[in-house]
Amino acid sequence: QAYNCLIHFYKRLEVYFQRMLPRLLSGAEESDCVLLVTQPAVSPADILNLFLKSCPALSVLVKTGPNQTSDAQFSKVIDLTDSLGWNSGIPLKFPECVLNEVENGKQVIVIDSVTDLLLFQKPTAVASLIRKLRQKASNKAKLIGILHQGCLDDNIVKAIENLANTTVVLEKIDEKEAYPKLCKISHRKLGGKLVTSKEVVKFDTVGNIKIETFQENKAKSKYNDEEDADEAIDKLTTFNIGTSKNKEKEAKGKLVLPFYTDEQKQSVAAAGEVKIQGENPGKIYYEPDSGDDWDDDDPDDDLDF
Amino acid sequence: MFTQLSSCLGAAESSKFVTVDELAPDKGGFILHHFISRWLKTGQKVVIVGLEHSFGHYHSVGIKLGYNLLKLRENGQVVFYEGLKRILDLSLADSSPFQFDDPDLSSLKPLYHEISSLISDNTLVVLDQVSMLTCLGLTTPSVFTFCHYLVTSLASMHNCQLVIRLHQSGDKTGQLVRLVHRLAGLNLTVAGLQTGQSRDVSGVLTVRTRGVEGEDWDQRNFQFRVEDKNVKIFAPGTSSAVL
Repeated sequence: QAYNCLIHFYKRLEVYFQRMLPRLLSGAEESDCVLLVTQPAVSPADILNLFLKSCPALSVLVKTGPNQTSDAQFSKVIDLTDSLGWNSGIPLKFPECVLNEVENGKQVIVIDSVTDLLLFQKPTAVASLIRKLRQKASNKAKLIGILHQGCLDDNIVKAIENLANTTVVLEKIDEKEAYPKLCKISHRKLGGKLVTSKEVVKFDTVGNIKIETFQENKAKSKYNDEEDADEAIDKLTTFNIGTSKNKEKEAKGKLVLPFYTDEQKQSVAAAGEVKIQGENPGKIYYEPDSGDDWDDDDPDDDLDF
Repeated sequence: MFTQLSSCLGAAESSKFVTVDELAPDKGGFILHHFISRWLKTGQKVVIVGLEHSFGHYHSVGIKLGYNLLKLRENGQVVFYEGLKRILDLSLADSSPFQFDDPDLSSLKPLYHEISSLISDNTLVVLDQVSMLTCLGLTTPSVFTFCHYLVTSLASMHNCQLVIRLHQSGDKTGQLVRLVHRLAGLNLTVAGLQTGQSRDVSGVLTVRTRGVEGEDWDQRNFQFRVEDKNVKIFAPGTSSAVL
């Protein structure tokens, strides 16, 4: 019995340390509503395809525009391109036009894109659609929405993100390269606990998609390389390009000038800055040298006021 | 048509929907004239929706590039739609289809229908420039809806192309630019040099092409110099003044 407990413990440990994205794709982590948040230059199609492959055969696409996800891989397409009725003359009744077309059952519903829906319809109607679609989808089914960063008000985006169990924010790690991509995942478990994870999606040598945990050090090493370049530039020039006001102030405070008194020199050595001692800190201390003609008499004595 | 611009755009030059967004004013006009002259050379129809410049502006540039827009307009190959004037006339009319005092998503529906009636197969439509509509008090969603419907309408037609010019200044127009960019297959961003002005380099051109389904956008940067009748495109740092 102890042996079985040990095996169970190690299995739980293995599951705990497994990456979040593979767990979401395999269904080990349940999520009935996934929001893919993407930058304008980043395509969510590869991550979307991973979710579609892991889901049951029946798939529905809610399409809002012409240049988006291809229809070919979907069993059913609900076309909302003319939802406002500018071409047909009859605006579609939203959200009923979508809810009436979606049947109850095991399926994956993709909305491409939630951004367009939020622009063409009221945010409350879109939120209502998402909630009702989640109710229609049965166990093991998913609702996947695509949202674009920088295209809507932040408040609306946050409100929609709160409706989803899982939010996957896609970013490029290197601006010039399509891969690897960084996925920032926020997943709310059934009990309400929020789990976050950063994972990297890339291709291996064979062309299969590989998911790894994001390592901050690797990103920093790139920055270290850049710092080495900065150091090299500093060595080549006599200009102190990297100086700042604080640095200058610090250096000024540490400076020991030749006419300092012994007390002042000691204070610089001890505290690193010059301190003027005495009751009147503003007083000027002057030591005349051999060239000075020192006269204690008041030069204005001969004036008759 | 500018051959160097053509060669740097490659196959993406034939994208159904092209956006030209300017980060500095009046830097991107040469791209519109490139597409106009490219289509006129093949004898196909061009519809220019003028929201910023008058017909005289396009005509004077056209003369430099070797075509007479006045004659082409007379024989029907070029159609010039005076967008701002038309909006003004319709707004001042007793029963105006435009409602700028209370703009909603359908504010530009009459404008869309008027422009759609001018479009047929094998047509280039140039919308110059859409950001002016936000200056009239129209909201970003209503301007985007107008662009969305134009794109949808042309997507269903044979051999048509839509080129939209936008000016980006501030967050409001930035949001419109990001929204419209999503619809396009080719995005061209024109900006001035970060370090100031130069006699030998007019600005920076960024070319973004939408990848095949599933792939990210491909981005390339160039510098350009606008001359009297030509535009030179070169890799950054390789202008003739430097080499």
